Amino acid sequence: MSPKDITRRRLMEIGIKVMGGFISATSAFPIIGFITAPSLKQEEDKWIDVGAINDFPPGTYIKGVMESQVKDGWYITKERALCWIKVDGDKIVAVSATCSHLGCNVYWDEASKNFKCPCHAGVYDSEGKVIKGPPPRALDRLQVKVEGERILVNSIPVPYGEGKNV
Amino acid sequence: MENIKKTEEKEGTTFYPSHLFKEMVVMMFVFVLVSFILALVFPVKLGDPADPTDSSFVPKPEWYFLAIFQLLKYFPGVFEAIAAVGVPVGSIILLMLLPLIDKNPERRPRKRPIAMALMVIILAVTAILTLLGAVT
Amino acid sequence: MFRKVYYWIDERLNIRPYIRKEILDKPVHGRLNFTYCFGGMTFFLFLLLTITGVSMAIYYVPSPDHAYDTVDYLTYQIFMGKVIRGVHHWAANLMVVTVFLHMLRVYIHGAYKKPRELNWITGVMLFVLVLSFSFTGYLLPWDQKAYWATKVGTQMPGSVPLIGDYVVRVLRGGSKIGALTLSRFYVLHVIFLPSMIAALLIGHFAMIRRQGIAEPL
Ligand code: HEM
Ligand code: FES
Repeated sequence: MSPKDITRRRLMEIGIKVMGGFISATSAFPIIGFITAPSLKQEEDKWIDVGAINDFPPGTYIKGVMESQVKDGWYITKERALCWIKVDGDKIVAVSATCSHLGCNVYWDEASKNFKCPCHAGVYDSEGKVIKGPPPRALDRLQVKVEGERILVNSIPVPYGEGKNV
Repeated sequence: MENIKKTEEKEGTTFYPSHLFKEMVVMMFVFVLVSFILALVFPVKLGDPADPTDSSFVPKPEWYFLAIFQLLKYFPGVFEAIAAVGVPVGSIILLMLLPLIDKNPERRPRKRPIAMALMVIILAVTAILTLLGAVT
Repeated sequence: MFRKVYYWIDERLNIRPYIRKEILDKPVHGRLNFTYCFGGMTFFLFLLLTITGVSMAIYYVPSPDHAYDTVDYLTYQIFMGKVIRGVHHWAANLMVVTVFLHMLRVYIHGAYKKPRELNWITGVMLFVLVLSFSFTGYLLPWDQKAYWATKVGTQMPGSVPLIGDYVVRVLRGGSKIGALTLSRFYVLHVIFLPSMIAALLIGHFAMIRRQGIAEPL
């Protein structure tokens, strides 16, 4: 091969790498973006009606079912989630039922006055603070407001000790 | 490649029909076991529809994930990542690197006491965790 | 009949010598005991899973509104539904057993050592794929077990600082288990993982052919 052929060969080799690299790199970006895009969407907060004040006998935690219309990707549906509500005179507390460990729903155990998680035996006190088990932090709180006779809770939970209950 | 050449010379039969016959016998066994015994005697069930507002359902993973399920209970709070991600990802990486770590050419189990002891310990720990996960 | 077709093709492509040499007459050890069968069993179970899985996909609809109902329909109202779904279920469970025993055999025989390192590494990838199959398949019926196991399972990477939360969101296609999670898992389960496993199996088998089975001890 003459030196000219060798440079020609080199040139083509470099060309193959450059073009291959260009095609892979430029297609990777839109594809990865396309696959992960909906994951990044922030949820908008909204107020959800969980029932009338009279539905919640005061002094203890009662199950509150939060049912709301949501757009889950392309799909408009009723989303249902669970929280625990305690009416105590003027003060209304709403505790998110989502365990801070891996997200199972906790239940209120009236006998021991604790929240318990069925999944990995996490136990919280009546404030939602961790007593036992794997959960890393207290149960989240939901902001509450009262409109007329109805109790509304906010769909975005706030960590324990932050935010205020209306 | 030396030992491969030697192996080939010693190999006794051919793939077709003798080895394929053996494989077929085994497949027949698996087929009968799965389709006629397991699938008919222990039919699969469909549980209740998913309900995000339920607070009593205890999700137990399939039996082969029970060991890790049990392990989660021992790593509270900030250490959770160790059990949830560290152990599984670490073991997979170690397994992948095994042939690069263990370069001892000896193949007979009797002559590889460390490898065999490790295997027995890991199997025992996994078995115990699985059992604990199943009963609790 | 079969022979005639075979000869007809061979006349044009001359594949007979190749098939003889590379497949049919390939020498194999005469003294392989039953522990050498776990790989083949795993492969056979993979075939069973493919056939039953494709059949169920004909009826299944991966949406929160329909998943449960279509599984219910294909199991209880279609001829042989219970059997097809049962075989898929049991074959999946058994595959975890056989792939594990296969790996154990390879480990005990030291068959991962030089020159078979690459095949072991391919094998570990296959093992991860088998487990991913069962994890993604678990959600599809959209019953209680499916929903809660997936909720807990996808939350696990969330414990890692910094990137954990992002990983969870990408797995779920959002912050919650919903329509987007279901369609992701469905595609992983029926398209992505099967093609990955098929590609790796071709490599696995090609390497075994090239290197032969490690000499029995
Ligand atoms: C989908 C899963 C898999 C299938 C279908 C499969 C299939 C097979 C088959 C049919 C053989 C021939 C010998 C035998 O059956 O024992 C084999 C050999 C082998 N497999 Fe797999 N395998 C799988 C997963 C794995 C895994 C998880 C590993 C280890 C991490 C592995 C490592 C090996 C090695 C190193 C050999 C060569 C063994 C020898 O030369 O003695 N394979 N595989
Ligand atoms: S999810 Fe509640 S303790 Fe693990």
